[in-house]
Amino acid sequence: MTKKNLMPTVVLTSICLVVALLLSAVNFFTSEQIRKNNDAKLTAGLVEVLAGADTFEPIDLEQSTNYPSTVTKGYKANNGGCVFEMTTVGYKSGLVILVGVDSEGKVSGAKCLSSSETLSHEKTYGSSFLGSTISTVFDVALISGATKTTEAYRNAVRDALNAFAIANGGAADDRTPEEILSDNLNEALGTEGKTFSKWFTSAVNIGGADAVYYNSDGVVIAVDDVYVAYVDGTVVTDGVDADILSKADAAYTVYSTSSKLDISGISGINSTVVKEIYELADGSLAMNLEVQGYGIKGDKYTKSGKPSYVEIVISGGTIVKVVTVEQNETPMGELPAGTVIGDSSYYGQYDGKDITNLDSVDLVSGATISTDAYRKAIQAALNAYGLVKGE
Amino acid sequence: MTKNNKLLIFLKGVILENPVLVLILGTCPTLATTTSMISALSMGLAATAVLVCSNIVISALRSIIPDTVRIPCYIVVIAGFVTIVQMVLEAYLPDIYEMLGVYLALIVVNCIILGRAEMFARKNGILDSAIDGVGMGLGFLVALLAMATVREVIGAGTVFGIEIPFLIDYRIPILTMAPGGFLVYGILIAVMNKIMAKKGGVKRKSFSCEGCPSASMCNKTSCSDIEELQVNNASAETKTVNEEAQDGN
Repeated sequence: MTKKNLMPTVVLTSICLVVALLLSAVNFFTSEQIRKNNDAKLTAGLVEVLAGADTFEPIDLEQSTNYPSTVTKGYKANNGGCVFEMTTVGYKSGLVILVGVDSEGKVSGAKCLSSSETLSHEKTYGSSFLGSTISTVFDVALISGATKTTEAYRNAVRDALNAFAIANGGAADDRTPEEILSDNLNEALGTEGKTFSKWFTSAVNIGGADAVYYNSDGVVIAVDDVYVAYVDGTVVTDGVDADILSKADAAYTVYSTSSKLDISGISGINSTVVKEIYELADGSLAMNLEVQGYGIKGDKYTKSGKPSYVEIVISGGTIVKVVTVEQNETPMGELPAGTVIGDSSYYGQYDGKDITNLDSVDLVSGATISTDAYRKAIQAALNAYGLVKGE
Repeated sequence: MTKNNKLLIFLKGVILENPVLVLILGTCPTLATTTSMISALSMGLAATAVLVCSNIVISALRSIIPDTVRIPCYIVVIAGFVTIVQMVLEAYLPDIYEMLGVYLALIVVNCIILGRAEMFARKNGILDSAIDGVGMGLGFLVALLAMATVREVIGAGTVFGIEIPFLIDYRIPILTMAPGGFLVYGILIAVMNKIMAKKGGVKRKSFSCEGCPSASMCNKTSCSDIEELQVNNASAETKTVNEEAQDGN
């Protein structure tokens, strides 16, 4: 190899080496400061979801194989809490969420770091989870029209709560919401493995309680995540807060003074829609309805194949209250369409209406099948009231 | 070189051969970082620092670097200085570092820097190269600031991030977006052309022949004067016709 051919290689290599040495020297002087800056930036981000913490140590996720797959990073704080970075798939992939869990295992904050979702609900949805625990996280409602996004978000928050349990030497809780509810109800009543029926939730004025569940063993009233059990009219749950107890008592009174009517013998009642009728102490009728809308078709536009469930209370022929407790009109994707029947701004229009002015509640363009089915279900309820009362 | 020549080298970079408004180089960072005056100032200063340092080093090594590997050598030197600037900013001015983002690293492939290394630094002494770097860098900075001032004040109603009470209500947001950026850029170039017309016209871009695909058939030493080229070609054609005519005779 001649000098002429060798020189370019030697010169280029020498320049590369000198530049590399220079960069090493600069890196030596700046790396520590850069590390401090990055740590401060990370801490500032973590403190946003876990207030009160000063320092964070990374959690070695490799130490346990039980960490949910959505957990990408974990940090343990000096105040006993933890922060987890979760990566999941909502409507599109790349939904990254930061979840803070305090030392008591409750969500202290949830923030979306990055996403590509169609709508922007994930940017504000995190605030709904403040104070949630592993058993109450599923009580946070999904957002109509953004169920894929919010469902993925909620599952990620639940995974973060499980990751907290694992990081503290515990085990993940993978029970479904129904299993958690059943366990809570059985625990309150001191039974095991028993099933419960749900009486009414919010349409009936049950004194501020959340829901009433019953079976042959007793009644359990849910108030603010506390389950108060009654057996033969007596409270069997100890240590209940006075305010919660008063709400539970009010709900129990409404339940215990009501009677379930046998509607099988009353002809003319649309039994496809009107499933149950209870007569309350004040003479009003509370009904559980099934809305036979788009949801029942189970075709390519819906994913539920189920009716929507509605509670209604009618007194003196006038609607006292209507509540959609579960709407299953959600179409595929994020289009809002029939989900409107799940919004209180829609079904609240029926309060105060009777059989003569029911049509004043308009159908909603783009959700005509759902809202038409809803109005027909309300009409069926009013008809049933008339038949029961003989009016 | 005399003091006047050094001043001329400096002023060429700032005005006569302003890299952004006359030579139309570095358009990408120009449009990207001029949405705010702070980022324009930061980018201008960072690019100036890299330009001056790379010009000095390349000028110092010009007799050592063989022609066959000069471009890779220039790029290694430029990349080295850009990386140093990145590390220093990340350590001591993290907010500026975040603000400049990917455009800080893209200084490596900024045409102005490689272009001046190729056109000036490798042919001139260290001091002249340094002055050229300062002049070109300052010209880049001034152009960036001019664009950023228009875009931020009129587009966002702020100056260095501080709201201007009256203008904030009458801002024109499109100026902070890409279409507005091009619009402002074009207007500034037009203004520059108008100013330069009074001083004898815009200096054409000057490129060397090395690497040019037409070098073998072109009888110029650089692309600096198209008219001279056309005159020379015309002379060459005339000469050829005359020679043929003489041969014919």
